[in-house]
Amino acid sequence: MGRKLNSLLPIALFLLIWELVGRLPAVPTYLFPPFSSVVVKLFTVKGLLLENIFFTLFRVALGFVIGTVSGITLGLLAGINEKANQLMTPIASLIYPIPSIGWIPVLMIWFGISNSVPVIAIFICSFFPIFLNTVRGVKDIDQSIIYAAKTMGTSKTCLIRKIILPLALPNIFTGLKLESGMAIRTGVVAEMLAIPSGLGYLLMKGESLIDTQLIFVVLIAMGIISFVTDYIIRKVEVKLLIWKA
Amino acid sequence: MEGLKIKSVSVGILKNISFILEKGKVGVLLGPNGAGKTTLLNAISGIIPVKNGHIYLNGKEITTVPIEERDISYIFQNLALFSHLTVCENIAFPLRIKKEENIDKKVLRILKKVDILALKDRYPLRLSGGEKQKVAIARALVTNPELLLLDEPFASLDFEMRKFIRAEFLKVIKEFSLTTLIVTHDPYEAEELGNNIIKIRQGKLVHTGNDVNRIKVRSLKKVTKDIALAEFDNFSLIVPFSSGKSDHYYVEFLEEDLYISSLKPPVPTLNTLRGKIISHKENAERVHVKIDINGTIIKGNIPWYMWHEIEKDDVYVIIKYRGTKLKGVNDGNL
Repeated sequence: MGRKLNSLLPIALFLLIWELVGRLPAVPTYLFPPFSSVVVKLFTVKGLLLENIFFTLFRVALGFVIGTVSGITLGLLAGINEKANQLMTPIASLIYPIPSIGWIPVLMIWFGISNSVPVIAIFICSFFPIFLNTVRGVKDIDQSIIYAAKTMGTSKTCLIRKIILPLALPNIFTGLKLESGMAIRTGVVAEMLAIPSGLGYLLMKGESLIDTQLIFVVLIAMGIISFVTDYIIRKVEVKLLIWKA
Repeated sequence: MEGLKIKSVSVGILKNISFILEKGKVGVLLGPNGAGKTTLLNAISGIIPVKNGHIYLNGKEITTVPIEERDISYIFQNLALFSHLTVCENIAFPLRIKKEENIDKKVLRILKKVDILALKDRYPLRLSGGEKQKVAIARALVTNPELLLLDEPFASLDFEMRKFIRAEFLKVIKEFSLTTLIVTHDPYEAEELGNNIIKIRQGKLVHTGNDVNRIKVRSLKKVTKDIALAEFDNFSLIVPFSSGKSDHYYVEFLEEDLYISSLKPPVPTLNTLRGKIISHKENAERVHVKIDINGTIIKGNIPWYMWHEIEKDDVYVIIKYRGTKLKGVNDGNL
């Protein structure tokens, strides 16, 4: 209880300062609205906000799930098979450092203004780090563990499912934690540039109407979504990696 | 009956290795680091393919049988426990793979047998070295394999724990009557583990028998009661073990425990004697020397590096205390 209060206190203090600064006569409300007016705005645009949160979350979830599943699958393949590793890892290592946001202009040319742009940008953002972390996770498994399982009569698919994948999970989670927040950011940026819906679109709408209250509402929503996503991933990690605790 | 038969196997560093280990017996593969011991275990288990030679297990050739189908349990040096599974799940794993019945019952039985029931829900990362060792042994035994291979399984334990786990292990192995091949580089450990000793050096089989190469020296005088001071004509040796009462005794020690040097040891060392090399015979591996110590002749093989450093026939002979044994003449042949 005491610890919770300790972490809530700075947040309350921050909001109070925000409120006070927003109410200073020298600060125009259209540039920096007080926190209370942002809360009022939140209730005003509740329906619109929820609708656009849904759009964003759907795109992020779709791109992130496709990126994660394909990243883990191909990462396992490259981790187990040296030829696949030699083929895929150099390409992935080359593309991984490119910021996923950088792909958006070319995706817009290829796919036009469509849902594909944020989904593919999020896919790029999540696939490469998860692929590379999975490869590392598989490579880090002691070879004797693989041999031990084989001497027990374990088939190849069972070996992947029961031994390799669980033991590669710590590395996979490192990738997931790194990229979940990044996926949301990438999705929002793609929406700002390419799609007339989603939180990114709302941000651009707020900018064009000089509606800073709306912008702050969206920023708070993004913050909460990122926090909850990270919290869920950490909880799942603790549950799945109980043996590491 | 033949348990494990290795016929002219050449793989990696190993050259033309052949030996037979009877069914239900414990064999010890002894040799220095880099001798090819692990390579041989890997070849037997199927990790390394064997192109030259044949491996038979209980009369059936397994040379080309895939690793998954050999019915061999292998305890690796690092034990290779599955860290994401509990002790119980680790032990049940091979049973589930083989789709055996009464898995829970079998796991419970082995947990009790190896005395790790209290650890059943723990994860390997939360176990001590000795506990991990027991889990690895339990997992290897639970399927009752045709052959058990162990690659220096006690190497990571401290001296006391090693002694304890080794004794526990031998007790369980005897109960299961498993054909077992254990790798060690420690001749003392080899003697304690089994009486089928297969010694390899630089990939070659150099000795098979029921003991490690021991040098035996007759003690002419009686031993001073239990102090284990073996008195010879003009010198004496202090030994840690004595056995029974006898009119005549002899001292035996491992070849590895015989040191010869032209230089006096810089610090006083137990069992340091003066001697004279009266003859020597060189072969590819070692140098066979005959040393006269005040009328008592000691014969043994020394490594080349030691021989190269000897400058004259008059030498200091050091017999390492730890592995020296004093035996009554009736205890064995001299």
